Order: sequence, then C-alpha cells, then structure tokens
Amino acid sequence: MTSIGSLKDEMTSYDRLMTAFERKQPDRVPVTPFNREWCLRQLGFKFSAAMTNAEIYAFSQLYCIKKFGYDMVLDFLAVHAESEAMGSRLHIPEDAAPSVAEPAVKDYKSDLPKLKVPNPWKDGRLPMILKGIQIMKSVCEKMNIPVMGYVQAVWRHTCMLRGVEKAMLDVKKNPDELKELCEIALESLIVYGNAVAEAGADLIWVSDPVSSGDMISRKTFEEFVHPFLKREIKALKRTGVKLFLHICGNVNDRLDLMASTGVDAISVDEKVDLAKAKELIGGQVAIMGNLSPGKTLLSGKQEDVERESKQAIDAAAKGGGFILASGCLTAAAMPPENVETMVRVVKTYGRYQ
Amino acid sequence: MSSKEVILKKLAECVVNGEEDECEKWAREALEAGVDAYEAIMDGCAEGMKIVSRKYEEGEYYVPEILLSASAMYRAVDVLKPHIKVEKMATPRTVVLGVVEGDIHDIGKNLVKTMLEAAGFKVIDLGKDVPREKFIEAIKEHEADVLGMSALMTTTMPEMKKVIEKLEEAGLRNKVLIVIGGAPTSIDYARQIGADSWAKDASAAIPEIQKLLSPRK
Repeated sequence: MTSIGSLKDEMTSYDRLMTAFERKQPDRVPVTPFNREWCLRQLGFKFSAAMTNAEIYAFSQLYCIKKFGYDMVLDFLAVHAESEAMGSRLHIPEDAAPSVAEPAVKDYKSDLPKLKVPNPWKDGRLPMILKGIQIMKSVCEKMNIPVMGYVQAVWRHTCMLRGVEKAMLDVKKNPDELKELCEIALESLIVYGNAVAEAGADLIWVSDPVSSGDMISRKTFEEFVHPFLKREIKALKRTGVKLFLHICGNVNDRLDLMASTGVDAISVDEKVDLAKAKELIGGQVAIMGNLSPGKTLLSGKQEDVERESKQAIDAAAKGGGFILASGCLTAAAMPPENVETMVRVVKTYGRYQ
Repeated sequence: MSSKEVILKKLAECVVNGEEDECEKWAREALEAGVDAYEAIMDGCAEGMKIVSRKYEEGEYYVPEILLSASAMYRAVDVLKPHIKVEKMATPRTVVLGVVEGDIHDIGKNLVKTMLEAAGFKVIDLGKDVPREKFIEAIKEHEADVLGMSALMTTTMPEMKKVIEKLEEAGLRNKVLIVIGGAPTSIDYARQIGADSWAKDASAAIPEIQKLLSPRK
C-alpha cells in the first residue's frame, strides 16, 4: 500500500470523512460510492431479500466495505419506507428497488386528516431499517467506519405520499393542500430522523430526486421545497449528526439555496460542474461527487473511472472539504473493478492540493 | 362567432397558459363554428404543446407547468375527439411506451405519450414498472412500429438491455424500432444495448420517432 507515489492511510475512515465534512483536509480524499443493491449483488442476494431482512442487508454492506475498502457504509436507503409507514403501498419487484404503487393521499379531503406520524420503532418497515443501522454500527464502531443513515427530503416524501405527477400538478392547482401535506411530511421525517440518529447513524443523507431544475423552477423550489427542507435540516442537525443533501439532476441554478439549508455537505451528480460548485458554495459546505453511475461506473472501463476520478479530485479537492463519490446510487451490475479503481485513485492521487 | 383562425389561436394559447376551462370552452366553440375536429387538435392544441415543449427546453417551463398545459389540452381533446372523421385517422403508427421494471419515474414517459397522441400516433401505454414480458406481449398484440422505453435511474437502466434481449429471443427485434430515453441514458448507451435511437428528453422523442419512421414509408 505504501509503494512509491502512493499515499499512506493515516486516519481512520471515520476521522477522514468527518474531517472532510468539516471542510478541512484529511490524510487523503475519502471515497464513498453509493452502493446499495450493488452490495447485495456481490453476495448473490436479490433486492427483495433485503426488504424483509435487516441482517442480509447489513451483511452485504459490511462484506463489501471490508473487501473494497471505501469509507462509509449505507443504511437501507431510499426504499420509500417513510412513505410506506404512512400508508403508501409499495410494489416490490424480485430484484429491483421498490416503487410506490398506490400513494397514501389520493384525495386531500378524505385522506389528509387521517395521516399520522408513524412510530419509527413500530410502524411499517422502519424498525427493520433501524435495526440494520444498529447491526452495522455495532461492527463499524470497532473498525472506525462511519455509518450513514438516510432520511427522505420533505419534498420527496411528499411526492411519495401523493404521487409525483399529482404533487407537480398540485403546485398549480392545490397549493394550500400541498403545503399542508409538506407540513405533515416534515413532522414525520423529523421524528424518523431522530430515530435514525438514535440507532447509531454517524451522518444522514437527505435526498430528493424530484426538486432539480429538470423538474421544477427555482421559484417553485423556493416556495414548496426550500422552506420545509431548511426546517428538516435544522431539526436533524440538533441530533448531532452530520448531514449531506443530494438532489439528483441539474441543480446549477439552486446550489446557493441548497447550501443555505445549513447542511454540512452537498452531493451532486454529473450534471453539475464540480469546480463551479466548489467556487460557488465551497465556502459553506463540503462537496461530494460526481462520477456518473451509468456512463462511467456501469458502462465505463477502468481507465474511464480512473480518468474521471482524477478529474473530480483536480476540480474540487483543493483546500479540503471534498469527497469522491458516485453521482447517485450505483447499479447492481456495476463491474467490481470500477469500485476498486475509485478506491485505488484516492489512495494514490487523493491529495488536497 | 369567432373565425377558425381565432379559434385555433385561442386553443393553442389556452394550452400554453394551462387554462383548462377556457380550453374546453374554445373546443366547443370550434365545433359550433364548424372547424374540423382533427384540425382543431393538430393546429390548435398540438401547436400549443409544441410551444410548451419549446418553453421547457428553454428553461421557462418545468414539469408542473407542462402537466397543467397537458391537462388543459386533454380537456379540449376530450371534447373534440368524438367528432374526428374516421378517414383522417388512416393507419396511424403504433408506439408501445413504458418505463422499465423497478422504475416508477413516468413523468417524462407521460409527456412523450401526450405529445405523440397530439401528433397523431396510436399509443399503447404500458405505464411504469413494466416487466419484460409485458413489452413483448404488447408489441406482438398491437403489431407496434416503435417501442419507447425509459429508465430514470442508473439502477434500472440495465433493464432496457434485458427487454431488447427478450425481443431478440422472441424473434421480434427486427419488427420494431426502439427508442430509449431517461436522464442517465445517452446515445452511446442506446447503441451499446442495441437500441435504434435515443431521445434526450420528452420533446426530443417525437421528432426522433418521426425521423426513424420516415424512411420506412
């Protein structure tokens, strides 16, 4: 590992990531590919197996971090569990992520008054996810590897409770009811987020695939997304964990609003120029990004992964506060060599100069 | 009574502005004034949707605005459709559309559907989270000219390749043109999985499909 030209790991993954989140310079650039189903696939588990079994999921995370040596494990994220616990019905394919088949709020008048804030230790699949965090924490704590928990952004949760298309139309047709739903979504996520922190998460990922510039205008973002997101982040910060915000897609026109929510870091995908993001908001938040999970990590060769990892480091590492990550969740079919390459690059090239 | 020109202009305008009630009103006005229903849809509503998709490309409109326009358009189309004369509909091309299994991001697909219908295509919409077999069955059953598939997540994108493989197994690959789309996809990816074409977004899909079909005429 200490061959000529390579960097020696002098910090634990935990310290390294936390230092980067504080916008400082750890021993090398941390690397956090967002591997969920990919880890299950490495062990031959189907996605649906993890929908009912916390041990299977936790085992896949622990196995892969040991084998591949990146810097963070992920809880069983983004399976709409928060929305399911409030009444949205999921469709669960055998070997793919679940989707909302029937949203909880079909009719505002009849369904909104019935919505209740779930008990994270009792309702739906939430206890299973919390258990997964506990299992991973008990192992990772000894190895000084950080455990990432996950909480939906308010707008995402709202869309999963209402149906994305309906929520988008509500922006125009039922803004008041929509905001009332956002309010309940916010309340439930604060309760759930506290449980995620209590279960042992060292940091929390807040994500939203439905509020980028590919979906809504900056004006809509300002009215329906930002106020609730800001309150969510503020409340979750009080648990003491670090937080990072990820919005899939083109967010170039709203990076300033994202940074102003008070998160520690912002994760972006390949539609955002890392150097520009660093220049614009690098003084407020750490930056995570942004290898294309499709073009590069799934379909690219090792030399593509190496080149783009180096480009990302060159663009955003200088001065500290940068984490090399995938732009979003990686595909189950991603070649393992591409993960190995990401890790190799930070270990040989991941300097903050 | 308003002139045909005014009515068509008003229909387009109401679609662009997402004025549902007004849109329906002008559709009725069109029928009363004896404007051909097909013309009212194509030169009124569809013209409006063209402006809408241009506004989306230019960053003036976003998904909520497009959906409101589409909803206004459908209000007019519902009024006009029963009055379309049958011969105008001669042999429309059939497009099977769907979002692949595991993926529920269907807004883009729905926009493609709206615009294809407005452009006179027959659309078989399989919805979202569609299993491979369903695509194959629908293509067979409706003798589709085009298959449009989309995936919005990296994690579900490889499913499109699986559908194409299934089509090959079923001996149907050469019977149908395949266009794919969705945020993580690219023209390179389309080539790599053996699709015929790629559309960068919903508004690009319609000209892409028209282009694919034209040499076969």
